[in-house]
Amino acid sequence: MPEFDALIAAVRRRLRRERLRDALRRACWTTALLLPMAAALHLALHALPAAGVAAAVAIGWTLWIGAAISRGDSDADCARWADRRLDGASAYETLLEQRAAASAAPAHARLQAWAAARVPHSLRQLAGLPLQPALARPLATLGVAALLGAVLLALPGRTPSQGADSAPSRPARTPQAPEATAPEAVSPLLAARSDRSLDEIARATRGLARSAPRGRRDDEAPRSGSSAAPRPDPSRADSAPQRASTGPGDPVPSAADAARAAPAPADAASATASTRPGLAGATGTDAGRSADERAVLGASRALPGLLDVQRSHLGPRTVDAGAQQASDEAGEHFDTLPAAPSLPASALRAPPAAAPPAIAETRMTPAETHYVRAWARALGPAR
Amino acid sequence: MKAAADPEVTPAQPQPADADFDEAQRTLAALQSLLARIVVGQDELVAQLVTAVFAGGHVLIEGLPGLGKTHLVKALAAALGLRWARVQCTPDLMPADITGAEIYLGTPGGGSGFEFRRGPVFAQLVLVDEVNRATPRTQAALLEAMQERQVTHAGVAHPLPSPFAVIATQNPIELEGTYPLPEAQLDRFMFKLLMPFPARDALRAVLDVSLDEEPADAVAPLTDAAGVQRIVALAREVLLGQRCKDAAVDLVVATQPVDAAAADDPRRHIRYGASPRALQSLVRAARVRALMAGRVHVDIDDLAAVALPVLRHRVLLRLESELDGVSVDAVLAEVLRAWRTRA
Repeated sequence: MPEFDALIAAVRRRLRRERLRDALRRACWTTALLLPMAAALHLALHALPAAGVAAAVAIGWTLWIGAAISRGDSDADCARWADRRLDGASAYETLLEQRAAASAAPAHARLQAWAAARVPHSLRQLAGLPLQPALARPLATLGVAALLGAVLLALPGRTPSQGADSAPSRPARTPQAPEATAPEAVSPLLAARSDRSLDEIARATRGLARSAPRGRRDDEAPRSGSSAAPRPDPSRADSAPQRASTGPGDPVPSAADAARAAPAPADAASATASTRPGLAGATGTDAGRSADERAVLGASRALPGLLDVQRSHLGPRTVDAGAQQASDEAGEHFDTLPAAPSLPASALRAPPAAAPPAIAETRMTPAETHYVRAWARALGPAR
Repeated sequence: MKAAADPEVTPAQPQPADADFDEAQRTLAALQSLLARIVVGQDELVAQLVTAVFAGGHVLIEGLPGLGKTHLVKALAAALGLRWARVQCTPDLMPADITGAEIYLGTPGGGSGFEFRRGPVFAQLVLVDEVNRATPRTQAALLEAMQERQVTHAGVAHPLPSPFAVIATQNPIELEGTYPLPEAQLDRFMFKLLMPFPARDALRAVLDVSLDEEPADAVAPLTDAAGVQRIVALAREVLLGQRCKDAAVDLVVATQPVDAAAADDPRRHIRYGASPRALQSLVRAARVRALMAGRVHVDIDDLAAVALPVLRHRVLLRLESELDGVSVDAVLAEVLRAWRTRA
């Protein structure tokens, strides 16, 4: 039955073309999605070679199109498609089955005649059907994405050394001057993070300051960290260790806060006293007559009475008499041992302390400047 | 069990020729046209009725009084040239009133003996009016006749004529004193057809057609019993492709109940689904439908066209759904919509 075979062949060609177009559509959309992602990766994290990106895209396209072309359609698939799309009313598929079974049923001959008369109409319908899916939008999107990707990939990408160049310099400085607030000590990522959080900290502090009464008591001051730290109480010698330790309920200070709060309170106090003209010659009798601005340096102090409360939780120290006696005996035993005759006195002497490195830069980073200004603005009304 | 000889049984038909398909299509089209002129405004009902009769099935028609059910059956019997009988069911109707009884008769030669007098069920087209008013015992007398196409009396099997079709009617109102048909008997009906109230134009046309005369009494036969047999045989020659077989099976499977918690599934309303006999009825009716469309192969559209009358009385809803006012037709419409997108 040549008419029927011609229809099946035409449908097979049509299905192959539609499958190819579908593969092209998928490839276009996927490439249009991946190219900007590759460009973003290229600019933000790691430089990508344009040739490599092009090769990956080409491989993907080859796989898609190859899979579309290599898959064949059986006669039954074509007949089913013709039945559904070309008003075959299940005749073509039934005819195919009857032909395969070599049926001699009276209806078979009639079905052949029916199908033969129907085939030209189906072929005309097939020619009039638009090819699916449409490729205009995927191709246009792919063009835009390819242009954008090509431009971005042509830009110099970010190399891995750019992200890691500041990392080796930090361990060289931090062991010797962990309290340093030099800009080199803050990694760029940390600085960026600080920049983002500075405004939030300032807003939160400002809001806190506005909500608190002017003559607020020290008991109401926040306890944690250096960000909203209370001023140290010079009369309490244990305020510094208390400030250094954070309670389990206190928020963990960030790395930037730790870096800024690194100077010891004693150093900060002395530095303040030596650099501030108003406080340089102050005596104990002047205490309370001038504004204490040491908080702007990030120093903090513990809440009065906090240590008392904590100590009150401790029970009386109990000394085991037996353990004490064993320890005394051991001490006496080591005292009676002869001194080691080996090492000379010069070897036991500690090496002279190396001179601290010179401060290369005293200027604050923009982030720190912003941070200090935000603090000043936030604490200004409270003072 | 002995078998009684019956001269009315039509012998087996020869193999149909190719030209018979055209004649069958013409006959079916003419029959539909004729019945549509007599019972105005019920075109779809007429088509379904003709489909069921030529598929060898029985039909249950449900409709209000006065819509022309009896008239339609009379016209059908007259157009097909079949011998028909009517049984008006009442609570005191006995089975012997339908199947027949043995009566004692004397012969002119002086002898006497019992003779089996056949009841109305031995007609080729039996109209059982208001079948739900008969007692279950009488309704059960129809079971063997409808399924086995024979009547057994006093150990003797009496075959029914061929073609044979039972067309029963029932009234959806005035249910007091009725005996609803049991599920087993409902399953023996190929179609359950609903006779809707005609539209205004159809009502107007009724006055022109049947105001002063009964058009069913003046119907000239289009064919005869043998012609009906040929068309029935031709319908069995209609080809059924694998895709249509799968679709028919899928449809019956799609009526099976699922968990009531399946919120989006219309089958959550179904208590009992369609039986394998429904599958057979579906395909047989679809074949006739294809023949009426001038085709010798079944299409999915043929299955869809006969699905509702085949499944409507075979699918039982859950009690909760019935109390909620959910109708079988609404559930089946959703099932069919989902099935049609898959087929």
